[in-house]
Amino acid sequence: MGKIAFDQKGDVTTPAYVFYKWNNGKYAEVTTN
Amino acid sequence: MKFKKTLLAATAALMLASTAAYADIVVAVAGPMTGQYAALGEQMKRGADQAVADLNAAGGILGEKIKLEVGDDACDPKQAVAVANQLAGAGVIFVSGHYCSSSSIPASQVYSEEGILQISPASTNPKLTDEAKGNNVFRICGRDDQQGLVAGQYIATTYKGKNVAVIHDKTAYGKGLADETQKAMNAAGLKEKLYEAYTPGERDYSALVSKLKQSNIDVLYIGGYHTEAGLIARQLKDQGMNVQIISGDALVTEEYWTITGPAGQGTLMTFGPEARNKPGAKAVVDKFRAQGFEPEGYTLYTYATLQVFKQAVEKAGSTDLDKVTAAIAARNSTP
Repeated sequence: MGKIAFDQKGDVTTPAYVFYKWNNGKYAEVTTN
Repeated sequence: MKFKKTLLAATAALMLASTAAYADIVVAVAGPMTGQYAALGEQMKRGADQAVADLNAAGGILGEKIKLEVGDDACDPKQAVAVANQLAGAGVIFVSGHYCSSSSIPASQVYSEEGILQISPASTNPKLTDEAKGNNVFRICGRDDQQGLVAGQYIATTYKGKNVAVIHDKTAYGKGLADETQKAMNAAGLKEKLYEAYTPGERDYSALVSKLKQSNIDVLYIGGYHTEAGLIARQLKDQGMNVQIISGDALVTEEYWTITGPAGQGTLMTFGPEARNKPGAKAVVDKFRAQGFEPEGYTLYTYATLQVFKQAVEKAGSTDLDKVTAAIAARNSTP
């Protein structure tokens, strides 16, 4: 998972969301920009 | 007299047994181990099992062996509270859990009262940490105000002028995520044509699908879990609709496709960057694959919660909750 650090509330300081796309039973990250 | 001796012996044996039990550090993984979301619970259990096996193989924590309890909440809020109380009674000092936000949030109150550390690998509803009753609640996934922002802005930009529907399953996770997505999408200039709730656990969503059809929906955002999303995807195709389905992190299980079949083709979902691809994860990923298990979704997140726990206890030099939470918070200073 790499380095994990938390803010004062208990959330991770480096959240990130990316898109995945389903294709023939598998899913993989896609670039949406 | 003989009875008394036997009783004494039995008491001594019990004391020995309990001394042995308390010499271990007792931790737990809690999530939907049974029920319709059991595939998600399996990710957590596999992750925790492997982490505990690896920690014990490396000498445990502070020289103590780790013992893992498993709590099954079936993603039911009431069952989650019962499980939390059972785990407290079993002497658990750390819970990796739960999966569903609707379980993690009520269970967190029990953990706060009982002085138990909670790190959720998967619960993304902001309330879990925003409204935590103590300093004992953490998560290593993102939040739905972050996830919904990414989804909402993407939909507004990519599907401008299209008919968008936002639906949710009325749960803390599903509704929370759908509302955050709707908010971000609206702020970016796109208004949904339809906003609907559905009841989880049903088999027939044809009434909902008919409504989507009548509104000529092009894009469907689903705040919910993979089982219902999968059925809705299939039933949309059955009614001859070609809709772009977009959802969140609760679809990250290959079981989604076993429900949808080809109707799942092209479904988009948001999740954290692929943890299986991180260089540091390779050795662990290989271990899972050698057992015939693909460590997808929140498997490695659950594994990581136990690593965070181990590092914090070792840094604190103690299992005292305040010292351990201080050690976790101090991770901030680590570059």
